[in-house]
Amino acid sequence: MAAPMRIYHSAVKSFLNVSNSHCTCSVRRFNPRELKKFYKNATITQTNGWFEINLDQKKLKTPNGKVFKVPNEALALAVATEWNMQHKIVKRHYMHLTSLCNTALDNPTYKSREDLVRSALHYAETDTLCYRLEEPEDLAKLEKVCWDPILEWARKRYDIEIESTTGLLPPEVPSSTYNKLRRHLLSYGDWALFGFLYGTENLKSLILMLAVVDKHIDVKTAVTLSRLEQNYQTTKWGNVEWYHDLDIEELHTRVAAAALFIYWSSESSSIIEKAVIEF
Amino acid sequence: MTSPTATAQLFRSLLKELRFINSKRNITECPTYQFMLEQFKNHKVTSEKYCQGKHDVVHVADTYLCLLESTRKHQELTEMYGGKGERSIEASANIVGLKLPKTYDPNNS
Repeated sequence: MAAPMRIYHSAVKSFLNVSNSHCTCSVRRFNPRELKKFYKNATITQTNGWFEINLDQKKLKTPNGKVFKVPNEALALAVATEWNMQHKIVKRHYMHLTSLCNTALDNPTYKSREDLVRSALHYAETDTLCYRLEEPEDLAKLEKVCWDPILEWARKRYDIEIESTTGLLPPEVPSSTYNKLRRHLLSYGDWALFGFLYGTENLKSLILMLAVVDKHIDVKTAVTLSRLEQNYQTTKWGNVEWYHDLDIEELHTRVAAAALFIYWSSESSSIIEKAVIEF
Repeated sequence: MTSPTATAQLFRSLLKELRFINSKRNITECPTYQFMLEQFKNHKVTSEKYCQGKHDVVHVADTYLCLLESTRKHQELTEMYGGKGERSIEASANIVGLKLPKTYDPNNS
C-alpha cells in the first residue's frame, strides 16, 4: 500500500511542478490509518473564555496542529461526549461535531465568509423544494401537500419571492431574493456559516436548512421532506435496511450536528466575532 | 410550548443515550449529564430563553437526542451490514443464486 502511494504522491508533485519544501506547508496532515483509543476520559477546560478538550492530560488538537477550542460550553461538552463515545478504535467519521469544529478552526479550503454564503445561496436556485414532478399523480400531490407549506413559510419569514417549477430549467430567482437571503446569512458568525453550508449540502435545500435553524421544523421532519421522493419510492417498491435506513440515519446525524453547531456557536455572539478566519 | 410530560420523556431519552455512552462510569459524575440537568432545571418554568419562542431549549435538547440516537443506530447498522473484506467468487455467485462450474481436476479424470 505504501509504495504505490509514494509513487502517486511524487507523480502529483512532479505534475504540479512543486518542490518538497513548498508542499509541506500547505498539505494537511492526514493519517488514513485507524486511530486506537489512546485515552480513557475526555474532559473540558476553560481558558480565556474558550473551551478546550482534554484527552486524559493531553490537549486535543486540530489536524493542522492548532489547539482545539470552541466558544460554547454546551458545544465543548458535546464534543467531549463524542470522544467518550468511542470504544477501542476512534471512529472519526462518526464525530460530526468534532469535524465541523475542526473545519471552522483550520478552514482547510481557505473559504471566506462571502465564499461560504455564495456556496449556500447557490442551492437556492436548484432547491429541492422547487423541483416538482407531474407524474405519478399521487407523488405530485404529496410534494404539493408537504413542500408548499414550507415554501409559504419561507416567503413570509424572509419576505422573498421563490416559485416552484415542473420543468427542467431552474426557476427564475429574482435578485432581491438573493440579496435578502445573503443579508440574513451574513448576520451569522463565521462558525455558524460553516454549519449552514454543511447542512444545506446534505439536505440539498437551503430553505429546509433555514427552517431547521429557525426552529420551524425539527431535524427528522427536514430529512423526511428532503428525501420525499425516495420515501415514496421505498414505500412502493420496498425498503432496503442496509441502504435506505443507513442513509436516513446518516442524514439525521449530519443535519442534527449542523443545526446544533449553529445553535451553540451563535449563542454567545460576542465571542464569535473574534474568531477571524486566518490565512 | 411542550408539555411537562413530553419534557420529562425527552430528558429520560437523553439520559438513556448518555448511559449507553458512559456505560462503564457513574452517570452522575459525567459533566455532560450535570450540564444537561442544570439546563433542564433552569428552564423548568419556561423553556423559552430570552422569552422568544424561537430560542426554545427543548428544541435544542430534541436535536441533540436525534444526533445521539441516530449516531448509535448508524453505527449498529454499519456493524451489522458492513463489509468484512472482499468476498470469494463462490460466495458472490451464491448471493445471486448461481453455482460455479466444477473445476477440472487432472487426477480425477
